[in-house]
Amino acid sequence: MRLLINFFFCFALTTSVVAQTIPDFNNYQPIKCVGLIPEDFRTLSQDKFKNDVKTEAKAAKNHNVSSSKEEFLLETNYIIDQLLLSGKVLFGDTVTEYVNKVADRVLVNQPELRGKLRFYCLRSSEANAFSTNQGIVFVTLGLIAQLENEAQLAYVLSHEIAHYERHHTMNEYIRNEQIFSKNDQYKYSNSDDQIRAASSYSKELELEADSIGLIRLSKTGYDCDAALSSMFVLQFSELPFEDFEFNASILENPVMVLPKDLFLDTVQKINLDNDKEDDTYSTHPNVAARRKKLEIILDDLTGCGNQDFTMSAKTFFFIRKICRFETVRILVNERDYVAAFYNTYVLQKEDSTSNYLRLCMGKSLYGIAKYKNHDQYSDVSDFYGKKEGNQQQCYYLFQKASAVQMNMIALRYLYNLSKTDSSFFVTSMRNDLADEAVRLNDVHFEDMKKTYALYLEIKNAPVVDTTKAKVIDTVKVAVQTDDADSKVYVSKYDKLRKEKKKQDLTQAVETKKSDASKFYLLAFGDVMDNASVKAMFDLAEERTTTKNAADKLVQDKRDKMSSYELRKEEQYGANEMRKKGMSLGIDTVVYVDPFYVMADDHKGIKFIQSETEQLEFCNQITENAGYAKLSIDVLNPKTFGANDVEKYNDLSILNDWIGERVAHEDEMEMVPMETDRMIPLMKKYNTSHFCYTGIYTVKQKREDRGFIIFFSIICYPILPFGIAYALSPEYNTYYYTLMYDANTGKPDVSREVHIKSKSKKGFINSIMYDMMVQIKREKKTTTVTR
Amino acid sequence: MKKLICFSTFIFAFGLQTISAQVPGYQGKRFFIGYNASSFFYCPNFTFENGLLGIFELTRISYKTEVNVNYALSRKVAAGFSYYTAKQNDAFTNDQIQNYGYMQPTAGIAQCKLAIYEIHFQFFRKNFIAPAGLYNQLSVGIVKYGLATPDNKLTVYSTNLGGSGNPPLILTGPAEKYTCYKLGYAIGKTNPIGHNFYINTALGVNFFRGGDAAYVKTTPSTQNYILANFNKNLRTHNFVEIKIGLGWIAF
Repeated sequence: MRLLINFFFCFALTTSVVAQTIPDFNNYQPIKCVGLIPEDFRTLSQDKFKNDVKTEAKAAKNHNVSSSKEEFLLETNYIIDQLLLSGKVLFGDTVTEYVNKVADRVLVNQPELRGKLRFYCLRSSEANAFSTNQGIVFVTLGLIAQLENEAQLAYVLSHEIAHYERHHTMNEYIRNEQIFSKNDQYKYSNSDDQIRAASSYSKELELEADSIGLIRLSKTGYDCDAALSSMFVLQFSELPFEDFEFNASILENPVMVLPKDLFLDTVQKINLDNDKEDDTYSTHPNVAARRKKLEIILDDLTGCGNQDFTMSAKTFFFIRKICRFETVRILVNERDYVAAFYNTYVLQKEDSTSNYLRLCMGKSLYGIAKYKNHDQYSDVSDFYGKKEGNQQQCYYLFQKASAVQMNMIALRYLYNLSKTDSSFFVTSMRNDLADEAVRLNDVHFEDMKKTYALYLEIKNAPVVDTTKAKVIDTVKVAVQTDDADSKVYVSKYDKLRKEKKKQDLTQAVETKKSDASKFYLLAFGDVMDNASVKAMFDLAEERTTTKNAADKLVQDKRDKMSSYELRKEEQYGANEMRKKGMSLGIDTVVYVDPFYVMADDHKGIKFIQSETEQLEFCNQITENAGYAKLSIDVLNPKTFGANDVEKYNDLSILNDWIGERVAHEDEMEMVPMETDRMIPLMKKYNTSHFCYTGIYTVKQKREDRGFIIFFSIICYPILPFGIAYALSPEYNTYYYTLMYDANTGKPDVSREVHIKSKSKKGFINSIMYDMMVQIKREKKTTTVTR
Repeated sequence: MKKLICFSTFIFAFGLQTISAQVPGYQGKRFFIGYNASSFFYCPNFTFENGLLGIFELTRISYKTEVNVNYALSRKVAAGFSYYTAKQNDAFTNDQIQNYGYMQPTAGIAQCKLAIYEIHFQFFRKNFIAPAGLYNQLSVGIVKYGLATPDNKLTVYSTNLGGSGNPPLILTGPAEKYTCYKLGYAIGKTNPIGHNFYINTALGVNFFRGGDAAYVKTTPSTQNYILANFNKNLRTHNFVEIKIGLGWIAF
């Protein structure tokens, strides 16, 4: 009977999870939140804080809550809320539902505790999980993507539940406060001792959570060895999903073969003994220590189950696959292009025809090529020497390939991609790289054509030297020797002529070899006759010519001007902008998650006031837009109702897009990788203009207090004013406006307005209205002439 | 009356036009009216010999009231017209008494009534948009001043002839008010409250030049006694001023 109940339980879980929208992995669409927005997302932080304080007060013996606890509750509520409302947290989706089902199973014997906990997934490539004092457990998609079975996930959840049960986060916070405030109880001679003490306490808590987690797991039917195996996962979670040998043929074509010097002979083996790293200053014990502790407990533990899966294994692998697909997208978004590329390569072993994966790979290559072209590759990739396993080959290849080589490899990949995916986004990436190939790397269609002709000539040559690298291998032009010339008498002139002829021929062959080694010019060799290739390069040439002509015009004008005139011209432009402002002619704008941060030099962020003012700030936006007759939508997650899940999903996409766009420098003119997901949003909101705006206001001590008082003493009649001025705090307010055109990825507005004053509503209204007028104001048709 | 109606209609129509158009200003409103009270302390008889105690004993507070009408011409500039009025109690200094035949008013002070008609331009400082925020104000105006007594007469006595027991001398004020020009600079801050009002604070310095003041430096006599004293005190009273006021952001 028990077996039957278990069977039905498992069946019900399996079907309910899989019964949700099954993604088509060929045309995979990123997961979204589903259903009603949970209460955790909708309650104001200050209300949560007040409730938490009440709860703590009830639980305390004397009904008093210490200031440290209050501070902790305030800070954590706000920080956790920022995370919840960032759009990075998933709820109601297939993966989160699955995690919740596993949590149900883990807490099957503790229904009361289950009622207090909420489990959400976090869109992050890192393998991590954490719990909060408020009873929220976050599990990253990056972690699930690395796990081997359901039991490991159950152990991770069990571990996090233990942190919650024992109030570890709060205890650690209070202990750290005591340590770092040099409380009498904890006297440390220096900061090193303080850090060691804090670290030691944190490690104690981790080991405690490990123990409690394992004991709980043993009562759920899951295999207790999952605790040990999850430590193994933890140890190697920084590696890609799998370790497959990299075959570069996906970047090659019948004509273009990558030279051998772009590849390592052997890759660095994965270090299997990295579990004993020094954890003196770490918050977590090293894996060896944790494993040892678990092994001790396991020896005494009885009643462990042996199940790796309570739902079907298929369900777990299905969920893990979703997480892996999500992780590569997140990696692209985080600009970790090489990791995204290799992980996509790994996933393509199973889903070779997936358009989603091809797009991810195209995006990764585009990112690498763009950062190479702009000499900023080191910003987005680690040094290959730090990498282990087969992924190292990719890191080496992309590091060694020059900008022009990478540009052409990526361009060819995107060209192929655009044949099956003619979307605006893919076309934009392809055209952008074509432009940069012409403009920055001096690659022209005619050169490619000549190289291809040379390639054919060499290929058809009778002798092939097989000892050389693939492309160069084919280079062999027989040097014609004139043995027929066997006269008895050979004049010195004939001899010299013969030598010269021989030398010229040798030089010609070397030149051809050298030209042919520019393998990237053969990137389109096999499709050279295709009209679309020529059209693509013709357009790129045209755009480059136009851009160069415009640049030249400006440069010529500047060259003719003296330095005084130049300075005057710049001043004139700045003055004009200051006096008249911009005229963008934009009718509709979406304001995304406006922020308001109020801070104090001593006390840090004033959380409660910040939240209250943020709500007021959003009202001001709506109000001023009305005055400026600017049509707007404000996506403020703090005002979302339970049914606003679509808005939450939109916010998530927008935050991803803007977050990534801000990371790229404007000069790169890069098409953000989330643009494909932005296109439906542009249609939905009827605009391509998305604005991030907010206020940061800070109260500080005056830096020049000493001077003011000194000056006041000299001019003693103003001494009272001087003292009053010097002792009064200084307020600085920064009003940020960052607006992008999602079509082009270019910024419409990027402005910081600094006011030396408190953030008064009147000033903010004034500046905000003015900004909106500038956004709305029709573009001038005539240019201003002096 | 007709002129007033025409002017009001013009302003009203102009205001309506500015409300409906995409214009700079405070939420589209560019026309604002304000009232300021200005004041500052001054020490007419301050000398270093008197020391700090002398400063506190002799310090007086001056008052002025101002009504102004302003219009934001662009994002950074507003222009306006101000009317000031004040009744100031001018204490006659020992120096003045001695230079003008030891004459001083019978009441110890002479009341001076002044009116200033001024046009000004406010240049809003970096990152502020007219009419809200920090501004530098430049102004030029005409000052009309004279005796505040109803019969335009000042009764003085000569201390040189034995003090207040002497028969008083009655000086008649000018038939027309004295005139001089005011050049002013002020740094101020307009802080909007809600949608329609603002609080204004400013600190200014004023220079009084030209006009009847040119006569001051001529030989002292009973004829220019009033002018000389009033002009001198006018400068002292109004050289520095702190303004605090309220305003209405009209349309």
